[in-house]
Amino acid sequence: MGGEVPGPRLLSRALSFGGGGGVPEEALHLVFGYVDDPRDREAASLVCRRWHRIDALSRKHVTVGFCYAVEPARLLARFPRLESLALKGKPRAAMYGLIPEDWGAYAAPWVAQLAAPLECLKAVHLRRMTITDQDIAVLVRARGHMLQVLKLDKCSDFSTDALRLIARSCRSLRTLFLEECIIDDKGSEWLHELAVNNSVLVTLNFYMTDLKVEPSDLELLAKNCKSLLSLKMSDCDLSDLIGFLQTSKALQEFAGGSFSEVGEYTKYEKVKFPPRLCFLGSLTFMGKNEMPIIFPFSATLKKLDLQYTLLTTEDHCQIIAKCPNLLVLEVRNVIGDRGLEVVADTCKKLRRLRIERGEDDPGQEEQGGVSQLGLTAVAVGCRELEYIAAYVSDITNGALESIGTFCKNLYDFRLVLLDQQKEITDLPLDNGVRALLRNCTKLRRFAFYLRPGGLSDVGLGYIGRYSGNIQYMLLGNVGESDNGLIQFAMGCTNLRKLELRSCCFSERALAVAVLQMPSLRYIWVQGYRASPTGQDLLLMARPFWNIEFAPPSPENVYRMMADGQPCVDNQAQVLAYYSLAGRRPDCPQWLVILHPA
Amino acid sequence: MASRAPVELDFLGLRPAAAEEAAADHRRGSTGTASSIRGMKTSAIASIGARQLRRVIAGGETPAPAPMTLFYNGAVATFDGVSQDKAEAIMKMAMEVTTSNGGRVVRGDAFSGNFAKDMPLTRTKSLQQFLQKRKERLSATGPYQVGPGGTGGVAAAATKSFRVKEEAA
Repeated sequence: MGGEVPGPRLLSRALSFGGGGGVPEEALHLVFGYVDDPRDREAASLVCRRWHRIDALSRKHVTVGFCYAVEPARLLARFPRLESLALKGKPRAAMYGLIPEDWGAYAAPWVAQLAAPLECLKAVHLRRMTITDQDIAVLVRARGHMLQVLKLDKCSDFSTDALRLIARSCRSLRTLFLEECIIDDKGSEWLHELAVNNSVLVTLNFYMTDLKVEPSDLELLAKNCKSLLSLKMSDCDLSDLIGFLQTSKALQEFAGGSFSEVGEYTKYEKVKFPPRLCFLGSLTFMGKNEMPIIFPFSATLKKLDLQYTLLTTEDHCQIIAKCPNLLVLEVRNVIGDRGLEVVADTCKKLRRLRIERGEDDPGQEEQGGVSQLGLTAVAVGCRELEYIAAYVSDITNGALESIGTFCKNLYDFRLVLLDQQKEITDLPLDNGVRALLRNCTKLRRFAFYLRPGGLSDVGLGYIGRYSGNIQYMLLGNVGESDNGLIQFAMGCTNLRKLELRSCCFSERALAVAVLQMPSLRYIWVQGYRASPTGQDLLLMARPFWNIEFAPPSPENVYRMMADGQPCVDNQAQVLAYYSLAGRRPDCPQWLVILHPA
Repeated sequence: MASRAPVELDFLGLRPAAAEEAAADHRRGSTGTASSIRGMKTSAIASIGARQLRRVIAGGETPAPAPMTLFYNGAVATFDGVSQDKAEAIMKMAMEVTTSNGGRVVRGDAFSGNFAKDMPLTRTKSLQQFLQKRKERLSATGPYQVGPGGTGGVAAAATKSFRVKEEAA
């Protein structure tokens, strides 16, 4: 039976005790070395003090899911021999322009307190955090000599000066990841210095940044770093990259680069991709005329990203038909149902499918829009799918049922119903979502963003009851009343992180619902029946549970984002999370901390 | 079209700032979408007894197609079959009872049940950037280009697409 809560894990403790018959320390260390899964480690550390200590000393990697949940000092005290640290900061909503720039998530305290004392640290990954040149300098000074992986993922507030420092000081760097960071561009010397100082780089990613670089520096990098396997870069005309692509013989993954002139294929005729290339990210502005550039190696492609191309539905059909070995496909919804049918017929090994939201104005893209037809085709044709994210224009219960029936390996499912079409074929989606959740027993992450009427209270109750092992959910425009939310909450025993948007629930119901979910440690809400002060939220006050409230206010509309764009929304926001660190010390003045008082 | 347009009344004056703007618009004489029914000013802050309301509504007349939604004191009430006359009567009553310095008609507030309208689906910044760049690129090379590759072209194309949107609306 699917979607039910698994029984508690049973651990036998007998072996670790006893005088002569006990397992020696070294042996336990060895055994622990094979235990990687963080949840297994979590369980093991709770067995007894001895196991707790051995886990603490042998844990190689920790992900702090939310940077305000714990203080750096505590992390250091427990895991002094950490080799790899990942930190996540701002709520996911920041990717959609909903979190003002001064919200927080500063890397400074982490770098200051951990960079030097963690003597084994060689991999750092920060996601959606604010980090300055100064912070990077502290990190590099302490760890530069052994830093192998530095990932700044959607971070902001630093400049290319910091990149120059990294390039000069971190000669063991294998991975430099800067995707979607907002970086103050003071010149392209950083890349030159990287090319000159590093010979072991494997992955370089400054995709979706605005950094301008010199093609000659890229060529130099390719020459010096023979093991370069992946380059994802900012926009640079592909015709300027001919040299780089010729030199980088081992390259397997490439993304970025753009076609600056539409229809001028002759300019790009000489672009030849390296022989082992099998992961191709978006070649920005690639159109029908430039598509043939991919044909020579399309059959070996494992990953293809067409999100930032200018291809029509027909073009998608043509190109995908040539890629039978795709594992990952990312497109905009211009692919249409027809394109998805080609995917279903061709890409039998497909594991991940992302269908993003294209231009709403129908004039821009022909036949755009994906519906239950395309989704059903893909479900039937691509049985290996583990990840589906789709912005659809129309949907039916049947399509969801099909996904439940055929996509048994589904681990992550996200559906957003676009608001262009007035009439949706088949709402509410109660039965469809029930079938999907019951049958996809491996589901761990789930997003369902609809419109009023899209899911009744009964349907919302189904999501709770059949949530199984789902750990993360994003729900939008679901349910009809507070009853639905309570029913949902009572079913979600394993849900750890919840995001709610644009719902009709009262503040009181939200608080009560939170109290029903035993595993919940993080909840973000925007768009609900908020009060000016958020006082009903105090119903969920309890030890270690921080409650932060951004009141509804028209002034928020003028808050700027890091890239100069204004915050899209000015509705109230609630963020509540378990924390061992007490009140946030670095709150912006517009954020109200309701608890701890 | 005006009689079908939803009217939203800010009973609790939650949006004074936005309200200022709406009032300014009204003074400038621009046609806001929801500022009047048959020219009657429908801005009011009222304390209306719910029972009074139901009495008026249950008066029993031929139901009109438009539902009426009221946001009041943290609750949302929707009434089907409210005829034009009834709606006007209710709003007149609300205006008569008003004591404060006159509320404003605003679009959307924190109590709105219709979040789908007030909370548009947002895009990821990366996709937004791409679509923006594409717009600029297409208008720079499009047939409506005025002058060398320039701002004129962007303006012309932008106006064109705006007009298209209006027709489609």
